[in-house]
Amino acid sequence: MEPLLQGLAFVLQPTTLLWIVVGDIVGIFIGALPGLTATMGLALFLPVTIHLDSLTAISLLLGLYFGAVTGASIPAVLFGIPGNPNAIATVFDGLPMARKGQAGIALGGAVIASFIGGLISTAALLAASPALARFSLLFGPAEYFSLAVASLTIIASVSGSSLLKGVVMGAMGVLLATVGIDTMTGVRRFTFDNPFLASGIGLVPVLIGMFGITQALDDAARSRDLHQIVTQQLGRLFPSLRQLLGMWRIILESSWIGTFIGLLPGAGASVAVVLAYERAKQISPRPEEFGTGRLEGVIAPEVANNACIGGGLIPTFTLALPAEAAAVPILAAMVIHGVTPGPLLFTSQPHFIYAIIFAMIVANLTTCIFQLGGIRVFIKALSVPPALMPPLVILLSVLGAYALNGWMYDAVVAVAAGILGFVLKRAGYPLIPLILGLVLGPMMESEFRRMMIITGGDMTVFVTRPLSLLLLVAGVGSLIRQLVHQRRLAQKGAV
Amino acid sequence: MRTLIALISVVLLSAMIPGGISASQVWPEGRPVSIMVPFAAGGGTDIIARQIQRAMQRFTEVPIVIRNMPGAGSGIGTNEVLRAKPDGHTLLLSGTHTVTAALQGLTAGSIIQLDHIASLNWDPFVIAVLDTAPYKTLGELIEAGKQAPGKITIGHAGVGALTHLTSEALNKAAGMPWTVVPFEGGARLIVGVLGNVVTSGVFSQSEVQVQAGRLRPLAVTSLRRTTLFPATPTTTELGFKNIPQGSFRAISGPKGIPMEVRRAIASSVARAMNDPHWIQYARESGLVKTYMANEELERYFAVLTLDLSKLLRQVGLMK
Repeated sequence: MEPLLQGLAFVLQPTTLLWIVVGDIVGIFIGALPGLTATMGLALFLPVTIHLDSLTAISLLLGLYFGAVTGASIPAVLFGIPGNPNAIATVFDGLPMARKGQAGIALGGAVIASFIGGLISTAALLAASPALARFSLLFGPAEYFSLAVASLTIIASVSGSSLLKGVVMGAMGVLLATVGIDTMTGVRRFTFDNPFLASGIGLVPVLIGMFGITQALDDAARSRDLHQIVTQQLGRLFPSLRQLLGMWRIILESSWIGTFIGLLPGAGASVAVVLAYERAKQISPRPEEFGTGRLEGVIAPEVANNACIGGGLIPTFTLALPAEAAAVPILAAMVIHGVTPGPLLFTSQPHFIYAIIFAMIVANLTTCIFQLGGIRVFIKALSVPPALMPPLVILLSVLGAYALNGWMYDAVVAVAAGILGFVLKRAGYPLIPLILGLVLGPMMESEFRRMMIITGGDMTVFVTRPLSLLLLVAGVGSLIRQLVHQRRLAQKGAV
Repeated sequence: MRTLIALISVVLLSAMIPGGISASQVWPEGRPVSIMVPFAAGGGTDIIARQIQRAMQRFTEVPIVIRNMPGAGSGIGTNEVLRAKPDGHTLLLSGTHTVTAALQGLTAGSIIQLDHIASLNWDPFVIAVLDTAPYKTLGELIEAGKQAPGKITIGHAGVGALTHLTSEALNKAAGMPWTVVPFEGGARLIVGVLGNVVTSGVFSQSEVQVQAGRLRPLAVTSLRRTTLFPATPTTTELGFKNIPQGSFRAISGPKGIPMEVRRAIASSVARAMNDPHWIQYARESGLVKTYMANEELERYFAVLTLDLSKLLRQVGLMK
């Protein structure tokens, strides 16, 4: 009991609260600017924390982390550019909602959803850390490979109208991911002796290009009537309690998807949000309306991406293993301040863990308050003349991609991805499988090859390990289900 | 007239004297100094860079900032420094990673296109197994590998990185009893060993320290025993030769920095290394202190380059 109170007392100190709020506000802005990721913000702030004490330092970083992940929903909803990879899926229904004049409720719903997701995964961190950390160790190369295959086939089969087009796009993403230095042999693939190509095709520039630039080109080409959002009232900010209660299953399942994917090193929020979105589609009574501006389509991924934070911190604290890139600066802050993460932390310094848990709750709450308060300011961004929107989005996208590493190369990749995305979208090819292929390709390939090195080329290992088999079955199952579904649709059409 | 000339020469001389004797007038002066860390923030090299930056900052008014530019096995950040003006305001956190990246053709220039100014430390590696594993010594791990070929695996943190070269060199010296398995980064390697995917791994000392009680150190790759694992034998003691001693880190800059500026930077690094905070940090992290500057360090880098190129050629990574 005493460590619990110590932890609470620490977080309720004015200086701690102040630093959490500073982190929140900076985080929201970082999230809201395309190209600036949570990882980058955390890395930039790491030196600042050196002069603070360990708990204040980590509280500040946590505030920034939650702020950045939540803030990414703003450009996703308003411009259709995900602020960072955590917000990929928020675009699907967020942008259509904004175009229907429901930007307020989409943004407000995203904030509430983030709050709930963050809270549930914090509870998981408190209650089940050691057990969940052990679970993450059950994932060996075979399981990671099968997880990647399953995620990719599920997404490829459900997104878009044609199964074939989805699979083609997924494969293209995997292919693009092979550019760069082969992590297993050091061989350079498709790099043409260019040092930038040697570091591969970055996910974030492609993301910015394929959402921001593609969308802007699409709008410009159709000269779609965009003024509605501008002229309409912002409307309500909060989904009603009844609406939220009606989505309890989606919220709960998205929280678990976020927490579990979050605690697997290497999988990351971009996978979790897409899986949560697809799962929400399955649960919903009206799956066909997803993508046209359903609130559930914003809630599910926003719950999941914040849940990923708690999930990702479980192995960070209990095993000293950062599951996500963003957890690395947090781990580093602990190491710099002489707090040793690992299995002993929970028994040797319980007050520390409790303080962090309370800091997470406070960070969640304050992010929620500040972002809700700021929505009216952000929405002002929409009072630009509609004809200026596409060029503005393109400008933001190019700047965002450049800001990532300060390389012109990334901006070029974003523009190329934008044009490619536009052409593919026009031809009816879904873009999400390609993005996910880019995320999962390296994991799929290297885990497969690692397993082959270990087993000496024995491929049965993927089906003899139960967890791996289960994941593969789920992937194949979704393909078959979609095939049957398409056949039925075709028959109906014939009759 | 004579008195006037004398007066002028006195004034001129006195104006020259501070520049002549005080190094701080030569460097850093005015503009901020940036230290390029060619890896992501939060990793081992980054933490060392931030500690030395903090110690150096105590002695100068001019801000010293860390820039992180990860990619291409440290090649991207190094290229950025190779392009910079050699005025002592753009420095590189260099070391064994710079040598291996250059030898693998990941940088736009070779290692001799850098001025090596001052070295910081050696960070030895630890060969460790799961604490529940039956192997108590490195000899037992080798024996087990010889008994059942292909069964004992040793993981490292990435292709072309020094842990890779160490695992290959050790395997070769032991008569190839193991299967070498690459991972993407130290964190994934720890999961691999803790989850029993691989039998053993080449870790940094701090990684093993954090996992105390779950990983059992079998050997340290240094010349002498380290403060962190005083009970663990070194590979040298166990009779292995030509095993890399771990990662070596130094401060370098683009070629052509004036010698007086190089000396000033080196003396500033030397002072920082005597800072009590740095000393405490180095001891707690098990870093092995080495201080060499300019000509001596240049010669050392040449030897290191020769040794590492042999190893890279062996594993087929030499470009």
